[in-house]
Amino acid sequence: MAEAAVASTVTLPVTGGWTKHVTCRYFMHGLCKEGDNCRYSHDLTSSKPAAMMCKFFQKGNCVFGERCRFEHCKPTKSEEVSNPQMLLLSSTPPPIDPECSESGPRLKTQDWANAAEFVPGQPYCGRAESVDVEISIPLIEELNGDATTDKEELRKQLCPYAAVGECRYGVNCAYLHGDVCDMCGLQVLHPTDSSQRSEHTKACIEAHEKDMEISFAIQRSKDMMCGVCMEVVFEKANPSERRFGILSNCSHCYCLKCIRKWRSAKQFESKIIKSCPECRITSNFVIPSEYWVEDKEDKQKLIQKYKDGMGRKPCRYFDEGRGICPFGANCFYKHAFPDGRLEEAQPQRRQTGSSSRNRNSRRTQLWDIIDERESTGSLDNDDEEMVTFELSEMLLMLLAAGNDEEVTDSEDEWDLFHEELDDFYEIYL
Amino acid sequence: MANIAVQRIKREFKEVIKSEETIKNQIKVELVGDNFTELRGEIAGPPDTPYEGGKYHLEIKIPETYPFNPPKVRFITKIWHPNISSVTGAICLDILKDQWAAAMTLRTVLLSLQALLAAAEPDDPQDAVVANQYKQNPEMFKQTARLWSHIYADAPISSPDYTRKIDKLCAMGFDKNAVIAALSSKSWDVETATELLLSN
Repeated sequence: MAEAAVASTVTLPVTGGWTKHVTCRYFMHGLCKEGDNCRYSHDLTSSKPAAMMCKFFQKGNCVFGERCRFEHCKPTKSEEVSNPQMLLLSSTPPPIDPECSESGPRLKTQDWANAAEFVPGQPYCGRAESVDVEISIPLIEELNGDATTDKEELRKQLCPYAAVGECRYGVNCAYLHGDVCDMCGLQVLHPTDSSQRSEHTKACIEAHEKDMEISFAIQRSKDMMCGVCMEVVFEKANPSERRFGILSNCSHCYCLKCIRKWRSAKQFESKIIKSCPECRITSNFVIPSEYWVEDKEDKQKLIQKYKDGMGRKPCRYFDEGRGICPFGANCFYKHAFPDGRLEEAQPQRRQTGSSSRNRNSRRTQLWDIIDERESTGSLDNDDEEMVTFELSEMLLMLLAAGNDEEVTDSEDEWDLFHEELDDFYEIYL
Repeated sequence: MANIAVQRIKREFKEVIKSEETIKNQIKVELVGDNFTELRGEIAGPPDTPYEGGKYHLEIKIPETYPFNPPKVRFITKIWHPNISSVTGAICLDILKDQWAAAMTLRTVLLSLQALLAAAEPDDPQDAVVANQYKQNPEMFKQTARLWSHIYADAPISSPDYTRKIDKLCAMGFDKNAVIAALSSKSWDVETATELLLSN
């Protein structure tokens, strides 16, 4: 098109602006919505769209065949040389075009129509600058020179195939086949590198210990029966339900689904549902676990891991500082602002006395209720229940705002909420 | 019925049948129909109580939401007990209401009911008349409970004095169950019991 435009300006007189000499590209494709009002030329004979060569045809294959809007003709020898566009298509690096190397501004502006076309997958050879072929050749030679020394280097490297089982090259392998490790039975021990050997042995022992731990965990889990559905947890029909819900304060076994369902029962008091269905010991939260955990130390680890896990999840209520979380800085979920800054802890929050009434505007209603009870100085059992009740009501309202998908999360938060209360009373009673 | 409920009942049914208490004829459970929603329970009156030697039949209905909700249990056999209605057999027992726990089973429920027969809670009554008698006149309560056990639950020991009064009123053409209920609630006073029967 550009070529056509240049050609037209030379041959045709000016009628109604320069655009009239440029063939409308939409018309060329067969449709222009402007019709006769188009500012561009709708005369295909004058504009010679056929002047455009089909570069695919020139390469030997054009899928449009007869229907192609570009001209299907083999380029002449002279065209091939003068047209940088053509040169780009050839596989050999283009020789330095004397026209291009001349850095005169006049030439550049005149030659804009012959600008090198960008072809995806091929290096773009700007309009004037050409690739400096001279430099690249010695670079390749350098690489070739390294190859021999590389071979010796390879001899010192462990073969990755042999290390995972088998190398089909056997003794002919360019890489080193290590000694067999007694633990894993693979050719992974470097014959000379002692630090590699000890490191591998250490890793192998660790992996082995982990395996042992898992097999012990499976052993102690496999016969455990859920006290609610009375099914052996590992034998539940649905594999996704083969998970334990570990209660923080007692050692009775339940599957996660059942204990969560029990703890979310609405028809009983929270004291009843938050206690173990077997021993009635209250547990503040349920820890989901793939294996049965009974040992105190293991359980502590599990709880820590669970809390850490939650600490990485952003709190829905805090909402990066936009919202308010009833737990404030004590929430187990992450309270981080968009810039990554964490919410500051509010150590004064639990101060007593009326002077502390309005000390923090960000504080929530929930804590205000507690403060009120607190300042009266008569936080006996009845009041405690009252607080619990009111807080529960509010939390329920908060939870009701969430959607059904988040039921499990809500349950966790509910548990946390109770834990919060417990913390509170532990400190103040 | 929910799958979990059926599975639980099947297991619990087996548990009861294999239990030590069943072997000793203390508790028993039978299926009513074949869909595990209703069962018939039976408990033996505990020793050293007015209910000793009696067999008490229970109606057990399993809710859809079992075991997250308690089974509905009622005495079919008439019984004179402060926490059990002498008219309907309804039971006032916390574990069958707000103190239910999902880990409780048919066996534990039956044993709890047996324990309830041995240790009444007159301060949390289901039947106010019985509870009143239990507190005011423990001896009369015992005698009455024993008589009810004899008449309704096949307990061996009876009370000749009370039986005579019952027979007397029955001879007047009143229904035996009505006579027993009237006499029991009117402290075995024939006159007031007759008045009560006539007013009905």
